[in-house]
Amino acid sequence: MTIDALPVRQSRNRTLITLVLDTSSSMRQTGAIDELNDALRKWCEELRGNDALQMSGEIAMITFGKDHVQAVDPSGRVSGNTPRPYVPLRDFDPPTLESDGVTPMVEAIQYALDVLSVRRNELSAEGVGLAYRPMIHLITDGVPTDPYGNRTDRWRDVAAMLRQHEAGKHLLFFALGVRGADQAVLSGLAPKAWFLLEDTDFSKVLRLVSTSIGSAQAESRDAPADVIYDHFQRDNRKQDEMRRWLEREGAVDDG
Amino acid sequence: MVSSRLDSGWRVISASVAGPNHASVGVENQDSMRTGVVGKGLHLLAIADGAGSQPRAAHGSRLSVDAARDAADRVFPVAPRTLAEWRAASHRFAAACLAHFDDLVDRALTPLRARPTATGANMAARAEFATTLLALVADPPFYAYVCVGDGFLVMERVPGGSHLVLPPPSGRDTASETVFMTSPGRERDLRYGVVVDTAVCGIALCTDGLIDGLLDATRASDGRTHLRAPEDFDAYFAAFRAPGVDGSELSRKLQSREFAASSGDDKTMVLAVRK
Repeated sequence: MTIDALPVRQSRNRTLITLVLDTSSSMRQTGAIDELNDALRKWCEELRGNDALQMSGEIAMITFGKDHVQAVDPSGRVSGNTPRPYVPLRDFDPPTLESDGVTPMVEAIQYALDVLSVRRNELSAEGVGLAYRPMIHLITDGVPTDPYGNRTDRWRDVAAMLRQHEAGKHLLFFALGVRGADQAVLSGLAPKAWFLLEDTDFSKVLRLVSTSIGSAQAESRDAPADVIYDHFQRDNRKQDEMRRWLEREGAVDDG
Repeated sequence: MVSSRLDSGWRVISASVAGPNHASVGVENQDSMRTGVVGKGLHLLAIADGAGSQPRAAHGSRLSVDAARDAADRVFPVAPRTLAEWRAASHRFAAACLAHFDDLVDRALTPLRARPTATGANMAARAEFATTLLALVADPPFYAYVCVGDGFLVMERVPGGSHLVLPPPSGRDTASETVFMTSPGRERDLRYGVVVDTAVCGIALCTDGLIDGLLDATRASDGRTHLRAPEDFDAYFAAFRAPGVDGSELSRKLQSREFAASSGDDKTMVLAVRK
């Protein structure tokens, strides 16, 4: 048998990525929903270059706003709320999201925690482990509201729950906001892992998602959440510096 | 030139490559390995995996395999003669690996702590050197091993095929924290012993980055996942037993897309095959 033909098994463990995406009416008013859809499609293509993640990754998309809170099918095959929120990353083909309604961000995060818990249990029952700690990424341009569109502070209860999950090394939570999002909410939900952009550059937001996945993978599986968040911040600074340098040299095409 | 009895009839090939997760963010390979003659005619094979979360993990893994070499030199100046002597030596080897590692870390820490910092005190700590260790001293048919952490050891028998002699901890979704050479409770996780087998024709020491790519998992009736070396693991021993196969091919294999897709971790393998 030649060396090239020596057998290599595929990854058994899974990397669970959960995007919690704002599809409230404000995303339509600013045209941000179109930017988000474009950025998701480009990001999907970028992810295809990551062999290890393609083999181990599963992704879910929880939206809040249009149709209240739902799990949309990341492979784009099922319309409406999908009974199977997580699909293998190699099947990721993001559907076009539409925006409408208020901003039930709190319910969406709670729902994301629920579907993540169900998937973890399913994998455990199948004898499949986790390659890395599950990650939830909140992406928003607004503030959490109640069913009547009034701002709510119920996110503080969710934040406490997230801290418990982090302390138990069960979860990494990132809060990524674009123009219109509220710094106090983002930093309250993810004190060590929040970003607020001045514009609506969702490509940059999704680069942050990629960076966070890389940071989690580069750390020990047993590392405390804060250590991984510190690593994420370092990696992000490094990549920003690199990008700025490349832009100065005229080597980066932002399109 | 000093040689071992393993040298005379065996071939030792080793490779260590940075995982794609580390390579993509410019982090160095945090695994280390060391092989060579010990005492009068014995042979050491050792690998270590630095903990990715710690800033001096790569240094720690180098100290870990250095400690194994120092310990082997001290415990095995000559080959033990009986199984009882081998057992006693394996116990002393395990204790010496820990002691030498502690000593090397202390020596590394001393200059670090003396270095002034902006806050006045340098708080460099032992935990920053966190690493595993899997070491084996061979004098066929005797093999003394010591293991801390999640490295794994496969041995090939002819007849009999490949066997996972030292498995890594399984059930990672709920696994307790990996125990490192720097962990307070490392003695509880310390595994050591002796394999005596005239039929052993191949030995593979691997870091945890190779678990998914090389081992099979089966689910037992108790619900637990058990790992085992698949039948086709023999192919690795056979491939590098074949005359004319360059040892660097192992490094190329570990860097292949297939292995990159199996795990983003650093990957290290030390193979010894009877010619």
